Amino acid sequence: MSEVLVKIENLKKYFPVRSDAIINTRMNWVKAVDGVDLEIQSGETIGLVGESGCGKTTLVNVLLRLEDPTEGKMFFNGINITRLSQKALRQTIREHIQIVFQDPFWSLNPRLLVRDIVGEPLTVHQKLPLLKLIQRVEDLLEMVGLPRDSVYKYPHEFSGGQRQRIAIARALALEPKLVVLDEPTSSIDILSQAQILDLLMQLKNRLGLTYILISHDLSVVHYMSDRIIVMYLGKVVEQGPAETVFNSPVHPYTQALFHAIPSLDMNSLDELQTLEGNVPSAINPPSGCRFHTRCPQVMPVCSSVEPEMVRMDENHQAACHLLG
Amino acid sequence: MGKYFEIKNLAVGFKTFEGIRPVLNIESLSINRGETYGVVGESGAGKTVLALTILGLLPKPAGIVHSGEIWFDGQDLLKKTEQELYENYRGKRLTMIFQDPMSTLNPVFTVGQQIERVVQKQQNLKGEMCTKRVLELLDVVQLPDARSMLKKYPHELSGGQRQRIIIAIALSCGAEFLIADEPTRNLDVTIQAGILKLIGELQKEFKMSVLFIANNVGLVNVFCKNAGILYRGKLVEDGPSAQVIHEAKHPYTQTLISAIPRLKSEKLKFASIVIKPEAEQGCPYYSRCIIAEEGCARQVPMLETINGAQKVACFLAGRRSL
Repeated sequence: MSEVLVKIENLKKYFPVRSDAIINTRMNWVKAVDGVDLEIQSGETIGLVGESGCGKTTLVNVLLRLEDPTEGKMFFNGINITRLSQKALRQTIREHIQIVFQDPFWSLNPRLLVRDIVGEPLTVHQKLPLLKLIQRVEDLLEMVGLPRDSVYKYPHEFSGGQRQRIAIARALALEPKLVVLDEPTSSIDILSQAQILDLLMQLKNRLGLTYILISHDLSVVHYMSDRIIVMYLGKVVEQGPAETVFNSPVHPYTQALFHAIPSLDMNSLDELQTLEGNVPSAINPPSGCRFHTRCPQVMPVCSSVEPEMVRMDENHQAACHLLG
Repeated sequence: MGKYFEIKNLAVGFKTFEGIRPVLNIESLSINRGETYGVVGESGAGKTVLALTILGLLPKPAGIVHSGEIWFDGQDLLKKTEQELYENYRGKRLTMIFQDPMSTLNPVFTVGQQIERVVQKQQNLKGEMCTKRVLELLDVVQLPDARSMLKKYPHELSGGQRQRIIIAIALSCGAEFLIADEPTRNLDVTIQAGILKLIGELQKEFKMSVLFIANNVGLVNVFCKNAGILYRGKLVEDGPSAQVIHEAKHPYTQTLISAIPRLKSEKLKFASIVIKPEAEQGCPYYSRCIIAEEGCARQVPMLETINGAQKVACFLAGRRSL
């Protein structure tokens, strides 16, 4: 069944930064994404996990070509999209990849009617006449569980959960193949979150979508994803089927991440595990294994040699010296 | 002599153009000395208003306290004048950690200046003594390299570090009662765990009582001895957190807990968008409640003891469950 929808090879994205010196000959780079390989099958939900600053959002921004990659190759549906021009992008992939942004309070233009917000992709790509457009927008709103007469309302008339529904309707307007969900529920309440997650699952089954879900809420990722990718400082440290990664994580970072969530099964604060310090700077990432500065099981070799991806079983991989 | 901290029949409203809108209506809530109490609710439930009312910081003239008593160590805080609150309570005995570590600190002053200012004002320390106290505080919140930290501006710090500074400011005057208003919102899980542990350690070390506000049941479960569930300004369930969370009796609490995604195979339960019209005089949860009966629309249920220390405000509690 599965065909490869997205293929990413050794993708890198560096951002230039100026150092403090006035005349500076050496350019510094923030290595936001540093050599990521990834394959996404059609119909999968990929959960992308990591602390803030680890490059999750940059990775999807590059995939959407909202940022240009520094190095590496990206294929969507077999087409190499790494260096396509903006015009060519619009003709080939824009219709098929859509995104739902993190904060529905910022991602909807407050001056536009819902009709124009949801209808904009339709106007750009399909040039529908107005009556048909309204019809289509109403259908979309109904699909995401909003009343049809919301078309003539402004975003401020809706609650957080409803706004996120509008954003989802906009993303689905062109019937895309791949939808990127960048923290879709991080700014809404737990009950609205449950509704949105349920809606996303239904839509996926009905429309045969592929999702990339970014979230720092691991329970959300666990609930939604088929496969989980854990990133740390621009690199993938562990990836595998959701159940495997959740039940038996092998990388110390993944383990730490999972033990830091206060869950309903914990009884006291002592069961919470903390990681010392913050994510190190991506300008000068630590040598060797990037996690060695915070790793509870650090060994001498970790600071000098960068670990290779080790295959645990067919689908489950992790990059750590402990496994080698 | 009553409890150490106790709220009785507190009713708070906000003036709007359409008249006074009730925001809080809490029959009873009590915290013993040195204990932690967690308040959980959705946004708009009145969690922050509760915190502000206790500290006497309700926005004026919009916020009105209709009735009620807030007893703190034998004194009714609502009867105190602004002057008394400022001089004897706020900051000195009662203190608060505010919600958003990104915007609580003033961006144009260094961290050191901001902590010093509070120490100077509240404890009348000057010069050397003041700096010494500030360094002590930074040590208490486990910030390494304290001296260089003093000269930094908030934008140079990470979210976790900022939250630690805010905790240092809150603790600067040795308060015994701490209100933590979603202290880990917007923080990463790993940082969140660190901040929670820190507050937990400080609570034990200084024997503080903590009123912990959260929108996440999981946090309250690990952090608090007792917990209360707030729905539209009303405490609907109250008791030891283990009981409230694992043996929830109120349909709202049950819904809240089952809405937390856990396993893929499990279906999430949630209250769908308004099913019934609002009940003017009835239970505030009537319109979203799945098990509500006709009687629920006519009368407001009171908090009643149901299972040892657990209290529930629901006519149907225990009789039926989801």
